[in-house]
Amino acid sequence: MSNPMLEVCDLAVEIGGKRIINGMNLVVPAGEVHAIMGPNGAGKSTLSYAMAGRPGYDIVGGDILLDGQSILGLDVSERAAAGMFLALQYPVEIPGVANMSFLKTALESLAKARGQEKQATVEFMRQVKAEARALQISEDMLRRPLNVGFSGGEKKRNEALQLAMLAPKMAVLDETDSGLDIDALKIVAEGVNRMRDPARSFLVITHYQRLLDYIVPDQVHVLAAGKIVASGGADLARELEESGYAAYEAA
Amino acid sequence: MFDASLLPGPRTEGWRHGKISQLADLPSFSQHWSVGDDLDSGHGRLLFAADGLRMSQDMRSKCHLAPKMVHAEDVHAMLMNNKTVPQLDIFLGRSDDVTLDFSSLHGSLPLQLNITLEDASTSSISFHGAAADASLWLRINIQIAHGASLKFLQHDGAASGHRLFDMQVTQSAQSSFAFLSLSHGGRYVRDEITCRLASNCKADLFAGHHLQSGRHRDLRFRVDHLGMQSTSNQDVRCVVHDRAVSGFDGLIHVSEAGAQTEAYQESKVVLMEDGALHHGKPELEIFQDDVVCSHGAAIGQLDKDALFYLMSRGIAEDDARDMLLEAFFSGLVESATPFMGHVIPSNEDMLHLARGAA
Ligand SMILES: Nc1ncnc2c1ncn2[C@@H]1O[C@H](COP(=O)(O)OP(=O)(O)OP(=O)(O)O)[C@@H](O)[C@H]1O
Ligand SMILES: [Mg+2]
Repeated sequence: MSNPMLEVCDLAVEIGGKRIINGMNLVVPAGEVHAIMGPNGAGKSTLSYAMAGRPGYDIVGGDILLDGQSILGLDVSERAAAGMFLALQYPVEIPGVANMSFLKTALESLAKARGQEKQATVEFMRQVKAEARALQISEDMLRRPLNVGFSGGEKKRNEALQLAMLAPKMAVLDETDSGLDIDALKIVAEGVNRMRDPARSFLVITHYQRLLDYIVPDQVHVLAAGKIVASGGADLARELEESGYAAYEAA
Repeated sequence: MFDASLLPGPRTEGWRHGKISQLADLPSFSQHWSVGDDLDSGHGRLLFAADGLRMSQDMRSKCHLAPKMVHAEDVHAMLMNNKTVPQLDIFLGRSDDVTLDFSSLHGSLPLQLNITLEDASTSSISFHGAAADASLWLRINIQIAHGASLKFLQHDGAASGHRLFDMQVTQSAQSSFAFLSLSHGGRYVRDEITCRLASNCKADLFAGHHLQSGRHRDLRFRVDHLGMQSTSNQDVRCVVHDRAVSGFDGLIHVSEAGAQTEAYQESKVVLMEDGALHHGKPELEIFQDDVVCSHGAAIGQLDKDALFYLMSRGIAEDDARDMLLEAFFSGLVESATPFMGHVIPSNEDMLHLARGAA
């Protein structure tokens, strides 16, 4: 097995003093795609926010390692610079910030934080247009204010565009499939599959086995009541589709 | 003489809610300096400096004016002896662009400007605020004649010292007035804009300020709908930091004669830190049933979800904040642009405002 890209060790997370994630352990090796499934309110989004470093998600125990280094001491943008990426379940609308200039600023900030040369504007334009085309995102959407008035599916495709442009080491996709129509689901899944790489890992949070037909995971985990209660291969997702979570919630 | 140190401090409630004209001891105006009778095609710049009022070369050449120099000693002596405020009459013709530039003013200056627009003329005025060590007491009376239109940009390049800015705009029928103000506040800044609208007039007032710690600015808009079928709009956005004091009093007054008035007012305030203070006082006084009026006031913090989202893509916290503030103020300028035409701030000025620089 290759080196772990993500290690969640005995993690405990509280929101406003309320324990949501409770003693969670998870390892995603480099190059692998893992899926997390679980009932509503289990703590899936909480886990993803805690990994991204969102204020208010207090880590009261355990550790999160990215590529062998603890990221708990890093703020949100520093974690992004370290290679963490979170596609949000509910992407935020930001009036007055144009989609494309936001992407450019993000890439330049990452390059600066990593001490790299910033990408030439021509190269950026070429790349953003190519990626947008692949995800069937119109040029109009690139010019519009970030996510403002985008449909549910357009927002998710826009998250996929950011993922493609920022090319992180560790990508967490929180229900990126919900809101996507069948064609868009395939398009986004193809985008993710193109990015699969021995030096990149994915954690895909979803409610639907269907997504995992397109993005075939190396492992599937069930998160219930703040911890991983079962892990298995891609078959596990199919079993869950049949039987639901009743067995795990009772546990 | 005008002595800024006699002004009450920014936190004095009674002062804040009063009117300049009630509180300041208005001297009688006796002496006039006429800038010119025929400012037909002027693109002039009036520079107000500590040593007097100067007209710049281009004003002279383009406006064919007999320039008058007024020295500070004269102003002071006159104020000491006669308790008068120097006045300047400005007549604007067909399409004049005038700049009132106080940026080189360092001392104290009381001044009254009487500005008259001819029938059906279209003019613009750009006002640049004075430096931080200046005290400016400015009364501007504007008469906009029938069918005429005026665009007024009030713009502080940096934080001001003391400023009392009292602008009274009287609009004849079918005239329009657009106002955009961008300010960094100052030690004590109070800007009052009053518009009196006859029938079929338009008044569109936009203002934004970004107050760094320790700065102050009170803004008062008052729009009086005195005739039929006039429309007005007030749009204000404020960003306030720790220990800064911001105020916005906005009044829409519709008299009995103001049938079919449409009047709107909106203010959005972002308090950046715990010690930031904003006083908001939206007011409607309506004496007519046949009107459409609305007002909205929102006070909050910078959108935390948006800040997280930007940062999660690698944008450092300070840069993410700047981006959101830029977006906040650019929304204001976008709304103002259709009304302000070419009299809009540059991108650099906008950045400067978003960053809240000195
Ligand atoms: N700000 C908050 N204050 C209090 N409780 C919260 C807060 N945010 C989330 N929670 C609670 O934490 C629990 C986990 O929420 P989370 O959003 O992580 O669930 P999820 O597994 O992503 O669910 P879903 O499948 O519906 O997206 C829920 O019970 C939720 O109500
Ligand atoms: Mg969720």
